Amino acid sequence: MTQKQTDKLAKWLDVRIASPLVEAGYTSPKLIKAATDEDLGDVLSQEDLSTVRGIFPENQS
Amino acid sequence: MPSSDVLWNLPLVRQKIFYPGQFGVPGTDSERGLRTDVNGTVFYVDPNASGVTDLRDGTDPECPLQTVAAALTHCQPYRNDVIAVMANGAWQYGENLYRTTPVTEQITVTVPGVRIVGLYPPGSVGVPWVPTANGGVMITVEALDVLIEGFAFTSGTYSGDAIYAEWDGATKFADNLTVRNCVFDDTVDKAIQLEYAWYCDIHHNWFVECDEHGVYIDPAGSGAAYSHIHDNIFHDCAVAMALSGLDNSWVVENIVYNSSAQSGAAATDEGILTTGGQSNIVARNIISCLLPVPANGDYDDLNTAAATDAWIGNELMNGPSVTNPT
Repeated sequence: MTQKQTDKLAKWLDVRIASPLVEAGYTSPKLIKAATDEDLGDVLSQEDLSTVRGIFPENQS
Repeated sequence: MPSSDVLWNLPLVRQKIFYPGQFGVPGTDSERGLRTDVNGTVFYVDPNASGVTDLRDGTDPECPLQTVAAALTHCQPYRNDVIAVMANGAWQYGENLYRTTPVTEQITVTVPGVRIVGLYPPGSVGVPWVPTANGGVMITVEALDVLIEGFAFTSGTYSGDAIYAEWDGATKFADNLTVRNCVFDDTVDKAIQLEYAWYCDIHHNWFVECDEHGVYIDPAGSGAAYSHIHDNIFHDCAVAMALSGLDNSWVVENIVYNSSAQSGAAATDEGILTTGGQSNIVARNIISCLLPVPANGDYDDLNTAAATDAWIGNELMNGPSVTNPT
C-alpha cells in the first residue's frame, strides 16, 4: 500500500519527499494539511518542509 | 429524465430451467437468471416485494433481497456483479399508494467493480433512496470501479448526504467512481463528495436545489483529480460545485442556475470553484450570471478558478466568458 500512497502524493511532491511522509503516516494531502509544522519537521528537512507547505498549507484552526 | 437513460432491458425475467443441464454443454444448468456478462451475477433488491427478506441468494427477481447491503455481501470483486434495485412509489409527490417503501439504507461499498442500478420506468426521476438518520450518508464508496445509476436521492424526513467517495490507500480505494443518471433533490445536503478520489465520471445527473453542495471537495481534504464532470444540471443548489483542490479535470457542458446570480445579488463562489487545484478545463458550461462587471452575482463573484485552469467559452447571460473567473 505504501507504494500506491507514495505514487499519489508524487503527483505534487518529489518521491524523495513523499516517501518519508507516507512512511510516517502522512499518506494524503488531507493528513499533511492537518499536521503541524513541528510534526512534519520530525520527518522532513526545513527546506523540504517549506516545499510541502507551499503546496499543502497547514489548516487554519 | 436521468433514470430513463439507464441501459437495461425491462422487464427482468429469470431464465427458468425447464430441463436438466445437458451434459457437456456449459451453462445449460445455470440457475443464476438473467446476466449482463458471462461472469457477473445479478442480485435483485426490492423492499416492496411480498414477503421480502434478506435470507435468500437474491438471484431470482421473484424472490428478491430486501436490502442493497445484503446484496453487497453476495457480490464478489470484479465478477461484474450487478445489484438491480426495483422501482418503488415513494417519490414525495406521488399518491403514496403503491410500493411505498423507498430504499432506506446507509451502505458502504467495499466490493470493487460493482454496479448498483435503480430500475425505473422511463421518464421517472429514478428509484427513491433515503437515509436512515439525520446526517447520514446514503452511499459511502470505498472500493474501486463502482458504478451508481438510476436513483433519486432524497432525504425524506431526514437531512443527509447522498454519495461520499474516499481513497486513503489503506482500506479505501474509491477511484474510478461513476455516478450517472441520478437525481439529487432539494432535501439532500451534499449530493456527491470526493475525497482523494481520482478518475471519477459524474454525468447526466440532476442536482436540484441541494441544500449544501452539488459536487463537493473539502478544502481541508485531499482534493480530487483526473475527473470528468459533464452534462449535469445544477439548479439553484446552495453551491453547485465547490471543487477545492481539483486537479487535471474536466468540467464541461453542465448547466448551472443560481437565482441570486441571475438577479444580480451576491452569490460568492456558489457556482464553480476550483481554487487550491490546478490545470482544469472548465468549458462550455451554461451559467446564469453576467460577464464580469464587477458586481454582485457576476461571473467573477459566482465562480473562482485556479491559476492554471483554462476556462473556455462558458455561456453566460450576456455572452461567452473569455477569462478565468477571479
